[in-house]
Amino acid sequence: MNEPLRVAIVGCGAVAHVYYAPALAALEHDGTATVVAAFDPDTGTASAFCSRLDRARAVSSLDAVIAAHPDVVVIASSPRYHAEQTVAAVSGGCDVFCEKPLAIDRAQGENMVAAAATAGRRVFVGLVRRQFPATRAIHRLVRSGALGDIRSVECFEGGPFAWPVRSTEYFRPVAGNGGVLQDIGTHCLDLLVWWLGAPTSLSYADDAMGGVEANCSIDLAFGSAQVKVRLSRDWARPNRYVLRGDRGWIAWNLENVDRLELGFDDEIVGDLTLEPALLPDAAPARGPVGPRIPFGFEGAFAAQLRALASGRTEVLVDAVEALPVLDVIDRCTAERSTMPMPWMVPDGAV
Amino acid sequence: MPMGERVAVLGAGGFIGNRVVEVLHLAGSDVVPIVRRWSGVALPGRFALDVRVADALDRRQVRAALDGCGSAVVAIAGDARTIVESIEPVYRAADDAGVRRIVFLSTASVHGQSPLAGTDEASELSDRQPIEYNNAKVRAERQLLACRGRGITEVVLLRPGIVHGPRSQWISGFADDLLSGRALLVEGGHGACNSIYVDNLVHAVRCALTADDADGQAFLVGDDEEVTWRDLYTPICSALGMDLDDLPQPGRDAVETVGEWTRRLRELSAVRRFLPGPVRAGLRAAVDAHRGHGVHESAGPTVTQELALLHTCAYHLPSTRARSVLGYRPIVPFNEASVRSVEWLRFAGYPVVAPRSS
Repeated sequence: MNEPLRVAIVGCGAVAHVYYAPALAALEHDGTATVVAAFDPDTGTASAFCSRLDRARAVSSLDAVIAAHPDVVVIASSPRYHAEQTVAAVSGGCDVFCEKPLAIDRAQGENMVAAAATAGRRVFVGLVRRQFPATRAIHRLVRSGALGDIRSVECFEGGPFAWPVRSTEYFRPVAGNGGVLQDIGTHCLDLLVWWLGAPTSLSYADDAMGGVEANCSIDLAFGSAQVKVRLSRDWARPNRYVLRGDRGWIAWNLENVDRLELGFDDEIVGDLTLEPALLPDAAPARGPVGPRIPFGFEGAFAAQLRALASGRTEVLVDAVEALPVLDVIDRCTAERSTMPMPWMVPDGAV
Repeated sequence: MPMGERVAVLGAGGFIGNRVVEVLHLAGSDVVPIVRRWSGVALPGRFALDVRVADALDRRQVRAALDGCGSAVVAIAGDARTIVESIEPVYRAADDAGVRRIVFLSTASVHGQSPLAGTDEASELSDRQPIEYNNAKVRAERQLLACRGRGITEVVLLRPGIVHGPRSQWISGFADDLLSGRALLVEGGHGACNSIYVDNLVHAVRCALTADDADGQAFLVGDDEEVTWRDLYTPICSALGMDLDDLPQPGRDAVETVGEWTRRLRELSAVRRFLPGPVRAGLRAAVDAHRGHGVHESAGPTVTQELALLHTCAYHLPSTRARSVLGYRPIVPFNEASVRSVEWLRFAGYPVVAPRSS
């Protein structure tokens, strides 16, 4: 049996607590990984994180993390620190698994990629939604041309913000951003770029008025496909993607990571449940299939770390693949206008 | 408020508190939003403001958050316990902080959802009403006035009725119900709707922050126009390409308790993506089981007791005292308010088919 992968984590805030701690605990439990160090500027937060793992030790600096000789450093800090910490980790001889977004702009992302190449290390990005059976199936269907040319995509994502953040750091304008675009927009736009390629045109508007946006609206063209994206930390509408092609359509509800609705020419319509890992070789069963293996959001995090530990890095998202979405976000920021809000300005105000 | 006075808004992440922050800030006032938890910074964080976090049940936290504020608007939402139990710590913290005046957002529902003719601020209140929210607000008002008797900070209580406008549950909730086939009008919706557009309410708040001789009093506030529920709903219905007369119009005796159960399940469903996997699975199972009993969420509308009382209300509450003492005059006409609500629905991602207003 291989030695457990030595993992360290930098940044022990909300995402570390909600998703990485249980995923890493599961990997420790089955001997796949061991967490050797955790760093957060808030030492209490780091200690609380470590208390959920067997051998993890809270340390006081990034240097101390590297000195613990991890194979992989998980960067789960605020995005504005990703570049600096990633460069330090790869220069210190570690691979990196960086939480999304990879960086706050494309230039930083390129520096991270270059530093990794120089050091001979690898940097992967936690674009976790690419692990979902539903998004992978959409990728295959769109790229194979099964729906014909894609003509339109509409999606809404978000709702009243409920992420258990612990400071205002999450809402700080960083390089002109830090709101819903950089947050769930990174996921949404990465999926669109993964499915459809680079956008050929783009317009962007949001509701920031001196701070960071809670709502934004993005109109994009990917060749002949017209795409409308609406993201919100404010209001909930059904979180749903609808893709329409010349020969068929796909609808995906975000909460169903393993289900799709699919139709062809309005004749064949189905609600599909995707069952990953039901059979080792993904071949169809010859008889009745066994019980379904559910694949949840948490499972996607664990799947990423397990792939890392087992060396199956081909299923992970390399930092180079994350550069296009940084490019799109840079373009959004550059093109920014204010969303129409005719009710906003109070009567009598200038 | 006096020139340059810093105004705290407790409950700044909620529907009314958020709008108070927006209006005061955009009108040039110095406003400090206070939210219950860090995630609540999302909305006030759109502005470059000093957003503070405090649990309204914790006097020390609220005291720290009120530091430097001369007045406070209390728009704290929550369950019945929070409504009542936040009063004393908030008042005492304000008194400790030297806050000159608190404007407290109560509700016209202290008089019930269907008040008797002649009801006004002098009418006796009961905390034994069938709807617990009403009782909590009655108790909260009483507690606040008792606190005032022992402190220095002044208090003014506002009793708005149906607060409509962007982010209002009466607008968005009705739109959601229309889209899911659950909308209805009890007895045709011809009852009196004691409406107040949210900007009119914020205007009343501004009046209440400054008016002389208002300390210790409660004020009913409403729109200028006397409207029905049909008047409130018609623009929403039209904007979504539907006809109000196509909706079910059950009688008031059609109240079904299952409607309340469905609503609770729906509320839980909305937050389930943030829940741990096992809890989410349990919730889904509960919803499935509920559906299995033939009451699918979209199977049709149900009449709640609250809705039956509201839609059959026969009395328009007066704003006479607010006009006289606070100098309150509604600043947004009802028709204009409806246009703004529709524009917000469009912004929020609802499938509005009506052309954009000029």
